[in-house]
Amino acid sequence: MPTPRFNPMRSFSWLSLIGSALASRPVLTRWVMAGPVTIINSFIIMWGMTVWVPEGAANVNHFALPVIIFPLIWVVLFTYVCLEDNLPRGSLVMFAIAVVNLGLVALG
Amino acid sequence: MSFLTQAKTKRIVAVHGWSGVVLGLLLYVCIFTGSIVVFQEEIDTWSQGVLTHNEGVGPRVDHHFRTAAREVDEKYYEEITIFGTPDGNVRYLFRTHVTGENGGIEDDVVQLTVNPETGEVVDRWEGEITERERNPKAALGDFWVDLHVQLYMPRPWGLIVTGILGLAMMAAAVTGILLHKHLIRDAFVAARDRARLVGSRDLHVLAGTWGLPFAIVLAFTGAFFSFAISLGLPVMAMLAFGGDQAALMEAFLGASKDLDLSPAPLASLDYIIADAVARTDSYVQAIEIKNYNSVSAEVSVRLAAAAGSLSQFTLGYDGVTRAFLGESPGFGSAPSLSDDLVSIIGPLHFGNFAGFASKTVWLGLGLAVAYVTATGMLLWTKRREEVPLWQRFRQVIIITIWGLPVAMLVSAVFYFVTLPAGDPEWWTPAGFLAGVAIALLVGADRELAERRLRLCFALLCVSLPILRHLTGGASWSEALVAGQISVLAIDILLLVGGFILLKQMRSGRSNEPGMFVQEPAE
Repeated sequence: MPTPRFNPMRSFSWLSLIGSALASRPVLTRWVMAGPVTIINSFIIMWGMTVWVPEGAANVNHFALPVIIFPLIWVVLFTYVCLEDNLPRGSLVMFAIAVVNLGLVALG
Repeated sequence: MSFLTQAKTKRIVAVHGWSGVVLGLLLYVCIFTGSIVVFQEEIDTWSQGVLTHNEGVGPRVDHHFRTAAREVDEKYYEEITIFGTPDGNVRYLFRTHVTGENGGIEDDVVQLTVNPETGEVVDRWEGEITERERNPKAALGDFWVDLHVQLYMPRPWGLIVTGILGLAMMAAAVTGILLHKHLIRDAFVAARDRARLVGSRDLHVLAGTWGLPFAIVLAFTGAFFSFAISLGLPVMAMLAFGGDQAALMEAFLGASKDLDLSPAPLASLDYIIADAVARTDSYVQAIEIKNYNSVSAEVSVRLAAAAGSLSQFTLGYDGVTRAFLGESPGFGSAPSLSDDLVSIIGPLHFGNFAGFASKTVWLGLGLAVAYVTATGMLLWTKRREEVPLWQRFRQVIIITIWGLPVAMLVSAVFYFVTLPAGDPEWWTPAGFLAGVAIALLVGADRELAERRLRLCFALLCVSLPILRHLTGGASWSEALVAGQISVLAIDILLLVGGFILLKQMRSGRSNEPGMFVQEPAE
């Protein structure tokens, strides 16, 4: 089945180019996204959680909870990457997750 | 699930299959050994021929402890743990913290094993240990646990590998759910064709369906244990604490108070034990003393899970005034959601929350998941039987399926033979490698591999209880008198299992395809 076209970003030529490049190598893109990108993003989310998860009375929840639920974060991201038909959109979502969490860390 | 398009289904099948095929063999080793070591306590009792009961720390330890402590350098007074051993002795672990070669914090330990009645020091050992107390008698149980926890690889690599296996298992379980079109129906596959299930795929799906919730729990808790120690905490220290692991530990354990190490006698441990037992309906598993014989001394008493409680708990006392300070959380300075979660992850992974009953269920479900892993790999290769490479892989799978239990039993043989000589810690893993070599030799013939390995396994099952007895293990009558049912139960289980397998093979049923030989998938 052909990968859907990358319509939302047509107006941005450089993004369109990246999108086309990702879509033209679907197997490689998906392997990279499901492998290193997912694991790195899981760690980034874990880091971002230290900013917004309440510390609790013991002052440990904000860094203990992310470590505890790390396997769940990974499996959610991994499943999403596997199910996403539109690879450029999937890449954008993963990128956005990383940016938002790193932004939280920078602001926190 | 019907919401999946054809393309998604194809992709998920590929992920489900490939994750199993690439990591399936290691996953099988991890799950199978994990199912067995659910009964580690019983295996220790059986292998060591223990005739006494480990009832934790007895009511009177104070005098013998103080006497023994005088023989230990004061630098080890930083942290002391007292706990009962399976053979009825009491062990004192005096430890101080040192910086290891890799920059991490390690424990420098003096370990005394003491007869609780006479106070005689039975064994003294000193050294740096990071994992657990040294006990050559427990070499068999410890080796099997190591095989499960880190595939007998050095830390942290073994933990990283088993962590990856945990994630792979979660991926296989989630994709398995997505692929299930009839989750409820598949749990009750009807017997067809003269009371036989139509094909091995049905068995894979049936075992997989029942084992699915368990597989998810097991994978999540296992991945947590492996990753939290090997990657989670170091990464968290690197990201949120600038690489300072000590700062992370301080955050976990609460900021250290200003210690007053001027001398002050420790309060009576016997009084504290009696008070802790009186406050709960439980017994003392371990006592931890921090800053012994100083004004800042603290005593924590860990008690076994009380009736109706899922996990053990800890009570805190002032080490000088013996004032009760309340229940101590596992980490942090106050109760927290994360501490609660960690305290239930353990019982859920180990299956020890309801004693023998829950352990048996965990063993059964664990073996079901191991079976699903094995049959999944075989189904994958069966679909590709025209490719020679996959057929060779199929033979490797068969050798692994039967070779693992064979190698585990050979490691037990080596353990029993070398136990009287006193060096089973080296010989038990060596025995496992010998078992692997035997499995490779016996399984060399593709057609006869499964039959020969089954025979090998059956003979080992039958001979192991005899060998245990011949090498000085506790007899059945001694075990019965001492009330150690584990010794009898494991012996009988091995004998009955071995004889059933042998009988099946003699009665000609061995000519039928083996239990792992697969029909083509639908």
